[in-house]
Amino acid sequence: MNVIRLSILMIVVPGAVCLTACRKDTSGPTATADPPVSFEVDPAERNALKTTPHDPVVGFDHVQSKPFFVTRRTAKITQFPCAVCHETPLTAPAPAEVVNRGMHVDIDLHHADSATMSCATCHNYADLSGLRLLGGDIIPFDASYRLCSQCHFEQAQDWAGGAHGKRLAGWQGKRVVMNCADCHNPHAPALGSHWPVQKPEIP
Amino acid sequence: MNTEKTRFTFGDLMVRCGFATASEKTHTARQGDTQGGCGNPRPQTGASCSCSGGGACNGGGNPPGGSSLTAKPVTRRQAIGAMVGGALATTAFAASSLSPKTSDEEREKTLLKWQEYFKDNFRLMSDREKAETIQRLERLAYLDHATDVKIKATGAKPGVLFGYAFNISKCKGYRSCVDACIKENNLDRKSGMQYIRIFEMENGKMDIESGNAEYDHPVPAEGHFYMGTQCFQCANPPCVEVCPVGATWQEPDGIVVVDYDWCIGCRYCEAACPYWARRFNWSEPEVPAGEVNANQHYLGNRQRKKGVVEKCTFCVQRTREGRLPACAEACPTGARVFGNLLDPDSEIRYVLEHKQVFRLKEELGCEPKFWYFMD
Ligand code: SF4
Ligand code: SF4
Repeated sequence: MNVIRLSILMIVVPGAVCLTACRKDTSGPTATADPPVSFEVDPAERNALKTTPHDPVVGFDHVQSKPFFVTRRTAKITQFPCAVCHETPLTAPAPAEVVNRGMHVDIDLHHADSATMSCATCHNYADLSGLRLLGGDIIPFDASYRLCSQCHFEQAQDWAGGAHGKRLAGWQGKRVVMNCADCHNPHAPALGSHWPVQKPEIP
Repeated sequence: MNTEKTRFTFGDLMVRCGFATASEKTHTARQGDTQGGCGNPRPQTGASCSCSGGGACNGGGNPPGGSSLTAKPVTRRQAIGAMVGGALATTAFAASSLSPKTSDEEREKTLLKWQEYFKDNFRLMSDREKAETIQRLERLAYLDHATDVKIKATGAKPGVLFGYAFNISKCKGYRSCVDACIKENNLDRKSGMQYIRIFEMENGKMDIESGNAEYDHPVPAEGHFYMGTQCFQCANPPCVEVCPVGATWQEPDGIVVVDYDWCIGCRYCEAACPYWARRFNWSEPEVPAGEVNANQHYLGNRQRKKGVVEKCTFCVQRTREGRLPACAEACPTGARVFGNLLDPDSEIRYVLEHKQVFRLKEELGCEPKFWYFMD
């Protein structure tokens, strides 16, 4: 096809520039030039995966049939395990004003209104080193995504599929995603406002 | 890939070196064809070209000013080999007549630049030529900028077609991606070049022309949403179509790249791109030595020069190694989804199959591989 076009150009338009005809056909990607090479994840990225502890995600087979993994939370929680202070179980639900004192001065509850949730909605008062699902099951902090997904099921579905949240390391290979609480503060989950970086100079 | 050598006549070489006069410039074809280009001098008589598309045709139309040398075609490399010594001697002589202290480094630089000047379009290079030019470029980076860089020429992998999705309900306008892109891709700090634009848009308005990319206040702003643009690696790229010298093309994994050493800086592509994705180097790009990203790709973030066009390549130096583009990695909100469109389990495929997606100026038919979506 190219050759025919080229010849016509040469006959009909002697003054035409050869370059147009000599250029590649741009109708699609060029032919593959390199022999197949197996994908090697960059060593730095591989290390990132190695040094970031993670566990298999459970309960999302209906969204993502391929196994994927989620980062562990416990290594990042500063005052863990909770039983270091909380030697005995809590008994009464603590109102937000109480929580905001003492060791938890950094906790400012801006999640749902108090009629919907209190500390006990998520925390296991019998043993504070675990979290409690609405049905009563106790789960570790590392699986906190299961807790969030009880209400935020749409986000959780997108998270499992890949439309929400962030994946670590590369776009291929072992899929390790960040836990909900890696980005969202569970006590005040909305992302904040701040100054942007790098103002553009548009000519 | 067509590995057959391009034939260049001595006359061609003279023209490219600037030694031939205008009347002799009957043929200045620069090839950019991997699929069987024609290296013919354009016949003066209007006779049809007999090129069979094999890429090795020499044709019959020798330049009128051509000597008997033109009767025996030489490959470009052979010709360079023959010429460069003499040329270099002349240059070195000229330089030394100006400054008596022409250092060895300057002589080496001159030689390397000469050899660089005569190299082929990237798509026509053999593996050996690629290795040689990379070696020269790495050395030149050291001589010119005192930086040790590593330039790769990693090719596209079979079964991979890159795609990108951007969540307009997640983006908060922080521009962390812009920052990461500048650093990753060695963008010119002097002119403040940026590949990515984040447009601040009023809620309810979808006309990106009404957006403001120069916002300068804490974000997200009340009543606004944010929409990022960059090169969309169109499947039907008008920028490639208009390039007169084949300096820009689409790779098999869908990335549209520029051969910075083949680009003549005509900026046709910049005008043809409906997404304002291409940037032109009006001056010599500057990156402080300490900030140069040494992990480079020939078709990606290697040091550019004055007078050439560049653009986002989905971080070809990273993504062809399985990593995420710098912007996707840097985004703190997870608004950026990147992956292989041919992998049914990929995140990008999930987005395309489960979310409401749209593309910018879809009616133009450029088929960008960049989708916007909402939660
Ligand atoms: S966005 Fe512009 S520069 Fe990028 S491929 Fe499409 S037309 Fe070309
Ligand atoms: S400016 Fe664009 S169109 Fe002109 S030569 Fe360079 S890549 Fe091709």
